[in-house]
Amino acid sequence: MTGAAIEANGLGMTYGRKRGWALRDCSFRLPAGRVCALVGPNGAGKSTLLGLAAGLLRPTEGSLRVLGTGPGEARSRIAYVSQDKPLYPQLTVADTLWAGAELNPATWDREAADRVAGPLPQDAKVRTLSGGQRTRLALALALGKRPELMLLDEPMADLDPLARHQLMGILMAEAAENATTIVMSSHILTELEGSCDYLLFVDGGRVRLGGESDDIVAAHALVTGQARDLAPHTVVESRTTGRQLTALVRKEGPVDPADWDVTEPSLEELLLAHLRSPEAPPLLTPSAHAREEVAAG
Amino acid sequence: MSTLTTLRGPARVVVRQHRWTLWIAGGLAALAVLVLVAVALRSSHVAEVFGASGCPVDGGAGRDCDVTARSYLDSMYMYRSIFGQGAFALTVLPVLVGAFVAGPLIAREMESGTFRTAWTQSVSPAHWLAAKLAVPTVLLLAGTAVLASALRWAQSYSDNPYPYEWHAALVFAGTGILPLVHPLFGLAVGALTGLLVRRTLLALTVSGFVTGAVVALLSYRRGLLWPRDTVTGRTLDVQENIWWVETGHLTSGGARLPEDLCARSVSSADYARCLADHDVTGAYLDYHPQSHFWPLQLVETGILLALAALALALAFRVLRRLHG
Repeated sequence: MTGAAIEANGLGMTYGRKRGWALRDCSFRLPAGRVCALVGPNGAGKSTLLGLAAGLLRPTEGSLRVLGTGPGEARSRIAYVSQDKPLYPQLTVADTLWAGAELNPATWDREAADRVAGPLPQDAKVRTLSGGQRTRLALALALGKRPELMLLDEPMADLDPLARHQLMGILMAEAAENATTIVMSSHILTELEGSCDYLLFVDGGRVRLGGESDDIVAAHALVTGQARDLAPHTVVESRTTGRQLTALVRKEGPVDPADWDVTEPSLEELLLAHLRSPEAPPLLTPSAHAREEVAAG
Repeated sequence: MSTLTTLRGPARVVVRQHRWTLWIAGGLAALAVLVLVAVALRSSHVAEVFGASGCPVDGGAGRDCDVTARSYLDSMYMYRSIFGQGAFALTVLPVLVGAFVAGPLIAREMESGTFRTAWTQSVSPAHWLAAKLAVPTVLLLAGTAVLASALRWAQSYSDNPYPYEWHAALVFAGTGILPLVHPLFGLAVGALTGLLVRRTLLALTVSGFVTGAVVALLSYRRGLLWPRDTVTGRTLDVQENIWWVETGHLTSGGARLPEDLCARSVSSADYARCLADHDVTGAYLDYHPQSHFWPLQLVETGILLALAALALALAFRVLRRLHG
């Protein structure tokens, strides 16, 4: 069994009594070495979850273990890039990388940082950089730290397609070479589809789907046929046109191909169906189930 | 690994981030020292020239001598006011420190979100705050020590016939160890305010106001910080160089009445009658002799350091409670 990069048990977070729960009752496990897409609509709790894992926020309830320890203790082994890429505006690019070396003396890898920051003007002040350049610098700072876990909040949001492709390539190479666990969030459901082998789908402050992307997709089927009962399968969403029924179901055993026209849904269809059906039960694959005894510590 | 080594990296980053502020503050301090030295030299030169002229300060030796004495005294009065402004600058320094630490140093990081970048390096929030405060602490202690010594030297070297008395509100906080303590208090207030308020301008204002209010209150109530000596009698027989804290009338029963009790009397006969009506038989004076200088300094130091320690403990607690 590989260790868990993140393991949450009954995790909940509220920013104040009147503001409701940003995250509630979240239990899941992210095995180490995965590239995980953290997807969900705006306000689903993605940033809160990443902030908790990065040790920036303290959970209101429940527990969270990161790399086998508390988020605070794992600080030097985690890299985090926040959504708005907050860097010191008065420092230059070179100053920022120098600060990265000063603040991470044990792990700093200058070459790794320079590989990403290379195309940036070294003497430019951070405040003069474009959004894409800032993202590049923030990622350079994160990669220079040689983390075991990277938490990236909407990392690609303000990059043009070419830069996005390039940086995604660098991240994937990092994950492949050093077995770094990467968690990337996006509110564009399918943006990360090709790059990630693991999925956490958060909606309304809860984890609704978690596990290997392929397994999650394979657990569902898009069925079309004459309207009739779909038991024992769990219906996520169904639509009837005349006598024709189209449904997205979570399979409990094989679906009879004699009765139904069965296809595999795309990830986007799957996520949209869950978004439209908030009452559909959550699904975690076995590897994504929190293990109580580990989390109890 | 000692705390000192873990603070070195973040402290260097703090210096780099605020290097312009540090350059400007250092430049102003150097300029202030230069001005003080120049004024002291000039002042002692003027005093020497006047001494050589042989004219008495209080006039009566002819018109030329009066003019010489007048211009000498005018110059001395001006130099004195420069020293007074220097002492006043040391008195308001803690307010500026409190405002700077709360606003640009801490709240700006919270407001712009850069704290998220800082705290996800290999530095814990508590170490981050410690480094943020250690840099200004060291620089302030060094800077104010130099400025206060320069001021003291300049005043004693200048040969001024109008020295400030040891207890003057303007200079008391600029002498002894208080110039080192007041800025530390401002720093601690700034740290707590910056973390709680998290908006640069608002934190800067609140912290400057709180620091200023406490410093002003202490300066206003300083006479009460140590038990005063008292003299009473029909007439007051007082020593030189004491601080008159409170004086007034005394009745035969020993009750204290305010000094301005009979201030509305129109004639001296009226005044005497007024005193007699109130059974006034003497006067009292509460005062601090100069030997109370250090007790007063140390009590004020104790109060400010206790408040500063409280503010810092709260600041680190806030950090730990909100951010783990």
